[in-house]
Amino acid sequence: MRTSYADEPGDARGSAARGFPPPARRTVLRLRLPGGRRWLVLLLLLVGVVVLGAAGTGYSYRPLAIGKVKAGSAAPTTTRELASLRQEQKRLLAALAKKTPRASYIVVDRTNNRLYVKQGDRVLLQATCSAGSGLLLREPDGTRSWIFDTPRGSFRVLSKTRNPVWKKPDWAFIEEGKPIPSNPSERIEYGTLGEFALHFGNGYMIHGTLYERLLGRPVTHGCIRLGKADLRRVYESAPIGTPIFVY
Amino acid sequence: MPTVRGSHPRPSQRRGKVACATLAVFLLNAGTFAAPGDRYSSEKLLSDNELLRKQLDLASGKEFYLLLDTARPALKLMFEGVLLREYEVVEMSAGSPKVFFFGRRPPAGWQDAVWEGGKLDPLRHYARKEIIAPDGSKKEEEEEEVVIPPTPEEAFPAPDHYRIRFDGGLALEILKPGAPESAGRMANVASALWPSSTDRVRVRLVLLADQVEELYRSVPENVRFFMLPAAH
Repeated sequence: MRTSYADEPGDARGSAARGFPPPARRTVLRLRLPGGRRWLVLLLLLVGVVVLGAAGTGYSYRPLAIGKVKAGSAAPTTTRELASLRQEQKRLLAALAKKTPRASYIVVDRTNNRLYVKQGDRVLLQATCSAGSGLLLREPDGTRSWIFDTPRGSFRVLSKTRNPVWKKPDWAFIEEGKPIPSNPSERIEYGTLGEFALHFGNGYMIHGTLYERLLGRPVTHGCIRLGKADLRRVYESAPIGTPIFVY
Repeated sequence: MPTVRGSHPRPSQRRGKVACATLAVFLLNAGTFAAPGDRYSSEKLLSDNELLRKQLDLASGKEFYLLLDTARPALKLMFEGVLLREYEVVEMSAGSPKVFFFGRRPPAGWQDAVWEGGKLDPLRHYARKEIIAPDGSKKEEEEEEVVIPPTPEEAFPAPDHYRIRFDGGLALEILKPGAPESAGRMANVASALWPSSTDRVRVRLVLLADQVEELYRSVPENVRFFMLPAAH
């Protein structure tokens, strides 16, 4: 290994002879490796850089601290403007409060098959229910089809019935391969819907079931089925007009 | 020489009138300008009103939205201003991407914005089953095969860790307690590096295990998201 510039014959002496200061000593290190291993070292260096880079790349997390929401305008300086802001706040609070039902309301989680009766933040009742199966039924000739989903959104209890009677729609015959009766009385079925029903529009109801073992599974044609005890509690606690929210 | 009175007030009278006028102006406007101490309350009022306005906008819309109440802390599923479901938040943090140890700034004003278009990742796959009604030639004696649909847990197995991604680059990360923090180290690296797939900010929430699963199964598509500050 060559170590000293001064090893060059004549250099230092040559500089001194011409009156220039001798060149600074410089140590040159040269790795002498067989050809293949030089590439190995470079590869290892590259891998090291990539690993280090990966270690320093990703996401860094800090505890979440939310500050004040930035208002659009500058802070007012007159008492009249302050009073106006306070008035505006009252109006906004009142408008928001109006959105929340004061009395109880019903919430249905149609995917998890759960029904809640709530009042504000409180959960008054949590029940296992059955919601729509999501099946698509087609007539054999393909002319008509039905999707058995429980609709999402907001509704209200429009009417309540004791010992409801089911007036079977066309699909109830079609799905069993039976002819659609021309006599309306042949559509009536007793006892299928349980003791109570709460209607919330377009033929959808919260009602009972003969198949309580299937509660918790999506088996209905869109209605919400409840067990006997829970159905009674819902029926007794939800007057006509009670909001129903389905998600 | 006689003295002329009346038409020209004397200097002392003029000064008196000016003083009275000044006093009157001062008294009229005495309550008009806010005291220095009111500046703080006015800024808070402006901020609070903006917060209420955004909540009212969300409540007036027809989309479901998630509200992160950082004071409680709780994640609330809302619709039309009504609380549908509340999920208890065990831990919460916010993350931003870093590349080779250099952090990238999250988008300005991200904490105040209403984020839209929330989509699950991984997607919740739902294949609607189609049945063709029998043609009526089936005999009464033939037994129907009763198909019992799966429970929600069977139909939609929920991962321990998932994200709800919103338009604009915010991702809500939902984890069970004790779940590994990243889906995959290299996936996180790629996400931080690749401009098209980078989450500009991630809000990480640890919820109770059963609520993580429940939220995954039932969160509506295109849900919106808004954060309430701690002091509100």
